[in-house]
Amino acid sequence: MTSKRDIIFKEFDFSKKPELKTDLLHTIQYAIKSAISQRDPVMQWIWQPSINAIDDMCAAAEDPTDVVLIGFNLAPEMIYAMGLKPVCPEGLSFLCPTEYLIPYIDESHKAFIPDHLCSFLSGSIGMAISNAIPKPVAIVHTSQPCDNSIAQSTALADFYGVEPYIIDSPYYDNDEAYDYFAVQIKEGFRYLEQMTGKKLDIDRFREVMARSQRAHELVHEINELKKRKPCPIPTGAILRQLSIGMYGQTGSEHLVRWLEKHLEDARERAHKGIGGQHEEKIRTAWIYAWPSFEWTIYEWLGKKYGAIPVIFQASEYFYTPKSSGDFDDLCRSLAIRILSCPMGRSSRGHLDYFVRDSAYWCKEWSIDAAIFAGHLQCKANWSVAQITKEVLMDELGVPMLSFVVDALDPRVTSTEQMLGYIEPFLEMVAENKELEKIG
Amino acid sequence: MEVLDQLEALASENPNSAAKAWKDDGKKIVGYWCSYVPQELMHAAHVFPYRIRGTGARSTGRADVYMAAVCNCTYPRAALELALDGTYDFIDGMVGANECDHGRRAYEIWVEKKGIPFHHFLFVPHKIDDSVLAEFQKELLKFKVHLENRFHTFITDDALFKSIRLYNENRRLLKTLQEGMKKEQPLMKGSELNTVIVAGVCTPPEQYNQLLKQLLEDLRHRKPMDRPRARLMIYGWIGDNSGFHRLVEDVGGLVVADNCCYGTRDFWEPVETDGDPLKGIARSYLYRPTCARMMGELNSRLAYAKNMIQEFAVDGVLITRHQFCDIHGSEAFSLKRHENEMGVPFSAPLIQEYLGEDAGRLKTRIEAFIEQIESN
Repeated sequence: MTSKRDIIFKEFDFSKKPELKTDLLHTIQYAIKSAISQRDPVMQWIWQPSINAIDDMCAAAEDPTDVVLIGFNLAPEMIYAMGLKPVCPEGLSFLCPTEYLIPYIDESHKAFIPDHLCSFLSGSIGMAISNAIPKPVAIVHTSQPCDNSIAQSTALADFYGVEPYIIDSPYYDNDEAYDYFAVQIKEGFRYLEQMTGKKLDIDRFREVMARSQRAHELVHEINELKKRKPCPIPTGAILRQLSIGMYGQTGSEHLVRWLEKHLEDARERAHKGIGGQHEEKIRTAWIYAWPSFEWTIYEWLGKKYGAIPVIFQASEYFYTPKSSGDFDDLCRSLAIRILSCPMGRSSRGHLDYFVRDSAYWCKEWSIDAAIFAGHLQCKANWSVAQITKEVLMDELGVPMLSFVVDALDPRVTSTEQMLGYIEPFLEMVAENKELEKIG
Repeated sequence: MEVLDQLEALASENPNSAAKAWKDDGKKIVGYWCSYVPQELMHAAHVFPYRIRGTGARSTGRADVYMAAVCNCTYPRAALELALDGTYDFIDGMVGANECDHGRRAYEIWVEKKGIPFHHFLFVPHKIDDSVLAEFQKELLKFKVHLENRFHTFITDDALFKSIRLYNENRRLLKTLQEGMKKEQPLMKGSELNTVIVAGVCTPPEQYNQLLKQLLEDLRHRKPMDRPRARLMIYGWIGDNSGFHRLVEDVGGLVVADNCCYGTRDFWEPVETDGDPLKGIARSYLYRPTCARMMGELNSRLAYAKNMIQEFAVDGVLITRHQFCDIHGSEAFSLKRHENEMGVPFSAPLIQEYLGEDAGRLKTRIEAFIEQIESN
């Protein structure tokens, strides 16, 4: 099959029993840096968020005295503001090359974590019980975006024997909900002070939030440019890197620097009227998961169909945190920022958030085809797929493909199987566009 | 026993005779999804709180269009099926909650695709402390006002206290029945008691109260059960029928205790009857024995289980859940880690499908667990 496609996809050999790595973090670090070093040197900056993320985690592991475990829907600003080191276990699942991750997922199942728990989280639990993650001094979790993360939080707190601090996420997005969340953030600082012995430095909090604000502003500017045709981004891979940065590094200097580079590159491309390496024929929105065990697939879809990923909905942001600098206001701004993070917003709240957000991105960014790669274990989002499909077609005439995948584990749906779903769909979209041209 | 037959009919029919009679009287019924939704408030608004269940569903074809069967629990899919096929047309309103992702989405899809004259979403916090208590109290106030507006009534404190006392009486009677399971040879099977508990969520509390009193009276004349092979506790999620209990009984076991939603958690502690009734309800519902959805409360759940094990002389604990339930599913991780501290063996997780297709497999596993207990 691969020879017919004139491209070689990764082949995973699951017949060999993979091993748990004794030094997983540095193994991942080496794997990421090796893979990036083989890319075109001019393009290597694109993958900097992955390098920053794993470097930060390795540094935390080397001196774990200030490590705070956080859920991926808790922005790290709170932890940075305390001068502590955030480690997001599911972020590590996201960064981990597939062949290293699989044994940790399996390890969690052996310890009675159900196989229907999100693999980002089961992988992270497997890493924790294999002592691949530094033991934290504190744990801060929100109750968003889903039951999977609630379950993971309970399991990790139990395993480490650390009393967690929970920030309860409201169902709605309104002033009352933000106040509820903000009060808990304030309490959360007290918890962190008690657990770590460190004191909150309000000036550092202001600086962190200013950088967070700047990051969001840059993302909005980039997004505006993405409305252009062709979409002025070098490769779809940059959307994933943006996701890694915005979920795990908001409030850091290195994220701001990277986003500035991203914006500069997008401006230049927009100015020249160019997109990435492939001619844009079909603008796609990946409105949910983005399978990440095989990145070549996106290049292939660009090459064969001119299908360019413009939107990766799980990392598209609406809100820019703004604050007067007053402590209460900083906490409230952070509350809105956390509750507005894309997965938290669309999965914890009413299904309309997901549906209307999908319609918004597809409409405003002139999307031709929406792809709902439904992460198998995501109950909250799989229950909005059909309604979203109906709305996109009825209101915008945008077709949506949905199929089951595990974003991290190719044993559920292989690359070949994914292409079996996606290729006929894109062919249909291309034909329809041709028909429209003919009129 | 005639009263048990009546309770069995109330639990197993949907709509049951109580709902039909209520409607015949021209009165309103409001369905609710989760045991964290206080029935007292609805009762005080003169509506009949009727728990949304999957009772009567034979398939989930319509619901599966919206709730993918690849990852969603059969229980809410079965309930949604009954909404989409018109079975639930007899209810006048519905209250959803953020109980779990499955139930929450089923409620939302129901409202979106089927529609219902009155619907209210009750936000239930995922943690317990005084700051969220105030929030939950506010949520209950919004719910109260919404009920009042919709059903053209005014819920006075007196009416609320009256409802609280009525439901507390039901809780007391259920606890008395449950405590009967402490006997070496109880007067009821676990499946019978569970059926009685389920009947309570779909019967007007006044009627239920009378039935429970009658049942307690009748039990005085009943012959004790045979001594079981093993006295078992169920920990997790079993849904709204007694099928699982019957499987246990089929292989000679007896369920004497539980930590389940349709079980002791719901009636073990009464609602407070002094002070502000809304605050009392908020505090009592939040601080009662917790569901696995509550974060940071694992230790309290373990303590509850340990207490049940000791009080009811439990020989072993069956960990169970419906397929795709993450919150109960992952609790097994901790339960197995703490098994040695609990003094009795815990089974590996027993995974069920709501529509009960896998009874044979489950029965084999339960019997194997009992044999394991016997061999120790």
